[in-house]
Amino acid sequence: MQARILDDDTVIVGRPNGDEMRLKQLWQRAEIRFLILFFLILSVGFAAIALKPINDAIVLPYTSFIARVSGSVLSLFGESITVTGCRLASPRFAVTIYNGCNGLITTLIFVAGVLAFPARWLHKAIGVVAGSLAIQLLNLVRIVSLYYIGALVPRYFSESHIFIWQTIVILTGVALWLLWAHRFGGIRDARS
Amino acid sequence: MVLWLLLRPVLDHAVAGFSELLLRAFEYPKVTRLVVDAHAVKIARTDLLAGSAVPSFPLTQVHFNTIVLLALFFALPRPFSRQQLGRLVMGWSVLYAVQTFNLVLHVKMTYATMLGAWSTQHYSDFARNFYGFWQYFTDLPGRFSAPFLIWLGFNWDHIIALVRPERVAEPAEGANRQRRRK
Repeated sequence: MQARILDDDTVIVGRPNGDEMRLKQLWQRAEIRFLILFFLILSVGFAAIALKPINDAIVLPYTSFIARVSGSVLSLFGESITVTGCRLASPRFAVTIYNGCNGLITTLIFVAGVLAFPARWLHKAIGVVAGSLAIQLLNLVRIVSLYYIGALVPRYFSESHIFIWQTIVILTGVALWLLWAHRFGGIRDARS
Repeated sequence: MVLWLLLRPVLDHAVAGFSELLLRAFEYPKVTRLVVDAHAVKIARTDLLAGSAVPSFPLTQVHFNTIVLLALFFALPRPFSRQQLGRLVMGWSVLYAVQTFNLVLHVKMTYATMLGAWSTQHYSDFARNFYGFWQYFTDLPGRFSAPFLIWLGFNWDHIIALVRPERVAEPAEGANRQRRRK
């Protein structure tokens, strides 16, 4: 039973109307709730990082940081790398790390998946931190491997960059999410 | 990946063809022509002067996420059962719609921002920001997350059974309530 207040302050006690019922039933379906929450979190997160002040204050310095870390790893392998902003260059090859290549979008998708899935907040926090670190580690491997592909077999660079590595990154993100959901996710756990 | 490589020419034409249909449905006069050439699409407007530079971009990045969707569907138990193949067809159709939408936004974004004075004359600042944001959105998070969301949406029962097997044996409170109502 539910009370509804009309414009003239008349209170009607009864069942909610058909549309309300349908919306409520739809919201009660776990998969619909997940998809809506996922889309909302992803849209808000993406809109935030797409804003110019946030891009300039956070995304660009972060991408430069990723470039410096990648440069350090390549130096460990004996490459003579110069890092300028988001660009890695050596006498053999040069790559520029753009916004889509810094791992932030994949991390954002993973975080949206974790936050939208029913689980305890502590477990969500563990998932967000551990998953983000794992994705960044994979992205580092990706950048280093793409540098070597570009330096050694440049004709395969585009294919490796677009569909091989992007596919690997997405599938790894899904696998990480499944692992987290298997270990920590659960409707009743979240309520207890 | 092998299946995608085999289907690549078909996907190129299917995505470009449907995008052209959608673009022409909402423009007057109908001038947009999307020409597929070597896994890239050329935006060849019929009102462009002869010898004008024709914008073009690769189609591979628009539909490579088909590989991800296929991999995820085939990773589930009994992928060739009638039910799973039905879900794959439905999921693939949704992904195809998303890819088409992405290409439409690419073309609109090109019109709104990359054709110099023509763009500023025909598109407002709001339109440029609108197409820019949604093209960027469908390019990065949209392209990356669409296969996962479609796979999850169509296979929620299988995936919940995969991640929380005990939930299937012991259904949630809400599901029991719904069943009682029936």
